[in-house]
Amino acid sequence: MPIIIELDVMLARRKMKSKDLAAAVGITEANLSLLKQGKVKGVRFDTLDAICTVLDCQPGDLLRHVAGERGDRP
Amino acid sequence: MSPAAHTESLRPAAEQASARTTHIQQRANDIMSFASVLAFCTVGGWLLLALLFWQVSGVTRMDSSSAQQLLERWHLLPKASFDGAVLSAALLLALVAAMAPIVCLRRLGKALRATSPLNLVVARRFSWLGHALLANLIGGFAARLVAATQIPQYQLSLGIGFLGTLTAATLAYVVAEMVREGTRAAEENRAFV
Repeated sequence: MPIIIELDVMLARRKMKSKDLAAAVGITEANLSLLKQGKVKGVRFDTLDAICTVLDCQPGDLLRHVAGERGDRP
Repeated sequence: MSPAAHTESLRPAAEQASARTTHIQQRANDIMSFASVLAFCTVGGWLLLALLFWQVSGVTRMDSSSAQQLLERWHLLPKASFDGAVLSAALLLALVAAMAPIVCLRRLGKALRATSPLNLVVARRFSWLGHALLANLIGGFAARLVAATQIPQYQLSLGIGFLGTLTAATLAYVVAEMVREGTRAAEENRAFV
């Protein structure tokens, strides 16, 4: 996946637990775990908005694009 | 939007989804009840007809005049020397043709009650309802065709019922395809956080 989720880094910077973030955002811990591992097809803007609000960051702090990470894309 | 407000905004959505499911389950119960009543009436009617034919066949020693009158009123009085086996086959075929969509309707209700409406099982049940309605059309027509050889008053016709059943079968296939598409969309949506 060319999109890398850097939620772990942001959580470490804010010294926040996944459990607390999940509760604050309103998603399950299981879904947050999948998001952290990049095992989701997408993130809703509502969820992204809530995560950015709680972690006081920008979407760019959470997502990073790595070119050529996936073989099926030019 | 604050996280707390966001969480609050998610709650009504979850409640709405739950209410929708409950509403569909109520409708599923209605479908099952309707199918049960239909099955009861169909079997009851079939038994009554079979009994009347049995009475006019002369096998029994009972007085068959009332049965003859009733069958004549319904334009179902068979000819004097009718073939009992052929008429029985027609009756049996008519029962199977009538019961097939009812059974499928009940199974559809059961599936809707047990699982989420956007499910491949529900889609399959809708497809089977379409098949059963087509079988009802063909089987029913065949049964009438056979019965017409034994009942001189019987008139074969393709009325509004034929078109109605054909429309219902087409709609069942369309709904099955829509449920399949919805299931795919729901599956994709579940992969979004």
